[in-house]
Amino acid sequence: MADCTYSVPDLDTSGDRLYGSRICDQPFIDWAWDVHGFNGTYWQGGWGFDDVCNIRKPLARCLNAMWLLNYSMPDPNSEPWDGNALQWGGRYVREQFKHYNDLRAQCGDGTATAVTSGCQKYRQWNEWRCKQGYEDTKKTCRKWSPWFSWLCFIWAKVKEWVCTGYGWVTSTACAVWTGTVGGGENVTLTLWFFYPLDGSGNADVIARAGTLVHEARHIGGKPHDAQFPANSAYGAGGDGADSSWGYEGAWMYNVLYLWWFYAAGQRTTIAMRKSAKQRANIILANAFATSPGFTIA
Amino acid sequence: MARGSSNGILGVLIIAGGVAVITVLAVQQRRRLRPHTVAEVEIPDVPMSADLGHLVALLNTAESEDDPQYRAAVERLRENSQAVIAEAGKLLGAAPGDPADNFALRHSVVLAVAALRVPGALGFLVEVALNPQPLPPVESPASDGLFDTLPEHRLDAEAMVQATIVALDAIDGIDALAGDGNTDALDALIKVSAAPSNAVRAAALTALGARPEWHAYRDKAMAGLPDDLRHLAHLTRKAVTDVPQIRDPRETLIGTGTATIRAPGLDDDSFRRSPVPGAPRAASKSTTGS
Repeated sequence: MADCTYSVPDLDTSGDRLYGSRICDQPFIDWAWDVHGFNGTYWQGGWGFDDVCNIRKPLARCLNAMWLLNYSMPDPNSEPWDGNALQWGGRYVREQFKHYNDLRAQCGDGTATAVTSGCQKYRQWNEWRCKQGYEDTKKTCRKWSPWFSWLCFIWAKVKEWVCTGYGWVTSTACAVWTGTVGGGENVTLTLWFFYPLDGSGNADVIARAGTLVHEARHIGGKPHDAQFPANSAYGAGGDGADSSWGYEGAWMYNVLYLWWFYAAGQRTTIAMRKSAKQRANIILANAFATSPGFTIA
Repeated sequence: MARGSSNGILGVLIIAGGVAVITVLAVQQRRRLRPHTVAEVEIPDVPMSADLGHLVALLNTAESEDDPQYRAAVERLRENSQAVIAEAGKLLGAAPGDPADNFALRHSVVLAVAALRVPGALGFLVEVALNPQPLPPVESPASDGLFDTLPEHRLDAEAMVQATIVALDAIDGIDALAGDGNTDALDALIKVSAAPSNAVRAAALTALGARPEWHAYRDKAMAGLPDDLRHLAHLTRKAVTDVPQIRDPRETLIGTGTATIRAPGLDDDSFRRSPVPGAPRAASKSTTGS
């Protein structure tokens, strides 16, 4: 008896039939499997390892999202880092996932579509937060009288050292845990990533792609840093929002990819692009503590 | 001497306790990380009339609204719009658990009705736009396990997001009718701007703010906004090229940004090489699915 079960809604409106005809190509499968760091142990037992072209099964539905991420730009042969999010989105996802090199599928407990296990939360201190805090304090120091500002600058430096030390201790402890009994750093996709179970999981290919972009940004060490705004669909006042558009967090990456996909996505459909647009508008209105001030034209 | 041996016993107990705790954690972790098995439970297809089914199919295959087949299908449906709207109403009224109670299908059906741009669709579109009701948020744990297992994309929120996407599809339809000169559609946008959803309100208000001649309607809608949501009335519609972009995504990479090679070219045979060890095999070209 299986640990969990799913049902498969209409394959046309979810986009799976369209993309499914494209992923069933051995060179693509070989490539996607390697560059996203799939962990084969977790894709057997009904997840699709032995039936990779079957779009009713989870693996093919995941590959559909990866195909979208890597072939929706006008020229799939060009994915420059200084281009737009549509151009580098797929590259960004696979670079982050490949670093963890452990992409799994599991049933999940119904609280999340994807779970990132690792030390990304602790890496933020040394990677950017301590430096940013130092710069912010220095800005304040410049407003002080020149007679006393040197004290402030010393304080800023001390804070940076303490912050860096804290980051080092916590990230080392985390690395020891994950490297031993913690099971390693990995991204686990739950059944809700692949199917819209009870209307609460990803319902189409672009939603799955958006989840991958969002998770990839978290791997980059930038967690959510604010509370959801008033009347937010994600739970007003709860943790999980990004403070602003300029924070360049996971929600911003998510929106920007969807927006570019809506505006310039190729080899896709009217329904898929409109789903991207509306989802991005919902995030804009609900997931930033300070409203970005715009919606999608 | 006695103190020395008791210290030794204490030390052994502490070490044994530590080992026991780590063992329990390791066993728990191992249980949590064991591979799962999964199986499908089949559900019936959703029956749809030939005309609506054809347009829904085109919405999910055509790349743009300029597609000649898509345009012809919209024209054909327009001749029979009342029946189509009635059918759409039935599909969207599907009870929870019904195969038609499915976001992607609802999304396509509402896009189809909105594409008709007939005044008779206004009532349907308003009903859909007002439909999403925010569910009380369910608190999910901030983390699960030692050292950060980060749950993402809360599922109670996703249900709400999907309902709201369909509502926004409907608002786009109402907006298009308003653009055709239908003043009832402008009144409908005022009504919709009072919906208890930030995204729905934002869409209705930005629609009313899009044309100077509609600003009187927007001002009327603004009067009903709570103080903490007044910023929604000042949102502007922008193109993606007009908003701040990500300065350099490489700065946020955990690696160097050169770990992977690009995808096989669409017409590129250079990837047709020996199989990658460990990768699944594509047994057939068929994409199974009824």
